[in-house]
Amino acid sequence: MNAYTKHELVTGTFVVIAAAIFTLFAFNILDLDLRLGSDVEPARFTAEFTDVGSLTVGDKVVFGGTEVGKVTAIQIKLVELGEDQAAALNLRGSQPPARAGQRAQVIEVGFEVDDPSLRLDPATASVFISRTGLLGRDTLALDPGRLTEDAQPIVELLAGDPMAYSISGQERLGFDGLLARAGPILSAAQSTLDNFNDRVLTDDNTDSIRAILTQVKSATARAEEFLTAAEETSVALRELTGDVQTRIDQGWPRTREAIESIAELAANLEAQVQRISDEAVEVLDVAEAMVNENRPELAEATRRLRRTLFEAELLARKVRSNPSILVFGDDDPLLDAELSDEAWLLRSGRAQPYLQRDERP
Amino acid sequence: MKRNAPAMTASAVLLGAALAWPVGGCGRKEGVAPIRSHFNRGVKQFDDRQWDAAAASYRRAIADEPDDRRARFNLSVTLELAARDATDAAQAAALRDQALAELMELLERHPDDERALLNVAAMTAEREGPEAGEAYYQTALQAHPRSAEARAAYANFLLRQDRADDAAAQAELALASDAGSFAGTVALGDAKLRQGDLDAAAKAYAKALATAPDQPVVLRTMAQLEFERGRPAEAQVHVRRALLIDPEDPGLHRLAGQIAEQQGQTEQAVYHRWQARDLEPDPERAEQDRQTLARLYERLAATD
Repeated sequence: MNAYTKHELVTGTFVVIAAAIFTLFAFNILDLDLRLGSDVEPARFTAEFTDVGSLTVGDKVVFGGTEVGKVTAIQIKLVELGEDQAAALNLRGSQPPARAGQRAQVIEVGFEVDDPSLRLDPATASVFISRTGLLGRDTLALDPGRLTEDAQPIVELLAGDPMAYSISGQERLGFDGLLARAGPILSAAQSTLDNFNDRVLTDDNTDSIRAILTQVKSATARAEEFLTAAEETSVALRELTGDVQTRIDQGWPRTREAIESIAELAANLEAQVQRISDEAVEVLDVAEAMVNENRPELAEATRRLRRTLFEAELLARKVRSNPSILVFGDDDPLLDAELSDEAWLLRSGRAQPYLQRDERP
Repeated sequence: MKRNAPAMTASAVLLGAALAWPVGGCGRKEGVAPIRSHFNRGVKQFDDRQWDAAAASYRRAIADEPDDRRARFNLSVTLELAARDATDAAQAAALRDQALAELMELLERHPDDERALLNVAAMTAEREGPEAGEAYYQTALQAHPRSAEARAAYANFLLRQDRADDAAAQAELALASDAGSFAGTVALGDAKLRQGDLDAAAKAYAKALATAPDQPVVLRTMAQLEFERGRPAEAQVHVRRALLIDPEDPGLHRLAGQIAEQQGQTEQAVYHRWQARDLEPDPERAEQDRQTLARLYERLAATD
């Protein structure tokens, strides 16, 4: 047996202490549980996704930002697609298009929940894949579903049950999904803007449009008055015609007088029709003139809106391809060239600036 | 230890070589050399139209080398362009004063600097009148009688004074000094156009285009010329090329609109007029574009 000197013992002790400190530090960095055994028996669940992104075994399960468990398994599974799963696959451009009920491979994620205070309703609870930050890892976010007052903590409820309960997995939309959903909307908006170029109101022409509407409304009211009057006149005419017919049949002596009354009513009616017609034409002329006059402003509003939609789409695509621009900014200019200065320099009688020097050593 | 010395030495040499390769630029390809000097950085920023940054870089270059005439000249041009883009009139005037002061400083050190003389001439003509400016051009030409650039700049000055014949003569002299001078060729085309000799102008612009096929200045002028010669299809080809290079030039859009309108492409005309109106900084011209647009829309409505 070797005899250790005091010096060796002291050195060895320091080494052991240092190793222990580094071990603690490593566990802390890796966010590992130092307890050798937990007295909480976790509740086990599974959920299906068509895409789990960068989720891996060991990733956190979080509820409201708090860790409540971890992912324990990720495996491929052959299932009959649900409607949401088929829709998610189609959003990502599945060819041929996926249909609900069709057999296909999905990803089954197994996870455990070990938070003793968490209550959830397995029937309505769901999980979805969320990213903790732009550059962070994916986590499994838990929505505990509807709760009742007397709901027991889930760990208590399912303690010791070796079977895993199935929970609904909500598909992540992602930028592709967003664009796929936004695409038809943008197209529809663009089409609408193209077709109804002259129906967009701006602050500048609101008054003009309001004036047109007021005139149209006024003309409509007058037209209603006219129709009422025409109807009354028509009734009167019918009554009178019947009366006249009767009187003629009876040999009434004032037939001519009655016929003159009818002629007068007819002339009156014609005059009213003419007046309404003239007013309608006038209103239409005014409306036409105003629309033509304001069309440039309307078209400009349309163009700017379209430009905004384009820039929004461009930004979405940029963020999708490089999310770090949200953190570090985007100094990439739009794909529009700047004004040329050469023409001004050339034609103003000035000399051109010097170009770069050769910096080769 | 000694036995391993040759192997260690060899390893050290190999490691050093591996480290020195990228640092020393042994594998550097042409055209991707990093910018090391303030001057070159200023040129890059100037090309990106970052006037403030470019001016700062040129100032640093001058601080390093007060006699750096290139940096001082470029600083002056940068300040002038910044003044042109400035929205505040007082700030623009201050920037122009600084630009002139830089040139004067340059001329104090190098009294016959060609570019400085030319730009001082142009600025003086704008500030004090054409006669004062012309004196500087004459000085520049006396100092550099065989300079095509100086002749071309003088020709452009003469064109601005509506002296087309004199301008044509100066442009011819410029081309006599340097037959391939782009500025001289364009000046000759401009002068011939002003004289009404459209064929000669077209010939000059074609030559300029052959020298520099992607110059929007020439493409636009060529388009204008073909349009005036009653050849809208040819004009449209040139204006489209010019717009690909410089899509934010209101003048180009205005010309494209005119050409499209003459060809009965009213919708195209409307599009270009819109662009022109949107890009045009001058409110009076923008109002003219608006009126033209209203007329075009009436025509569109009539054809619907």
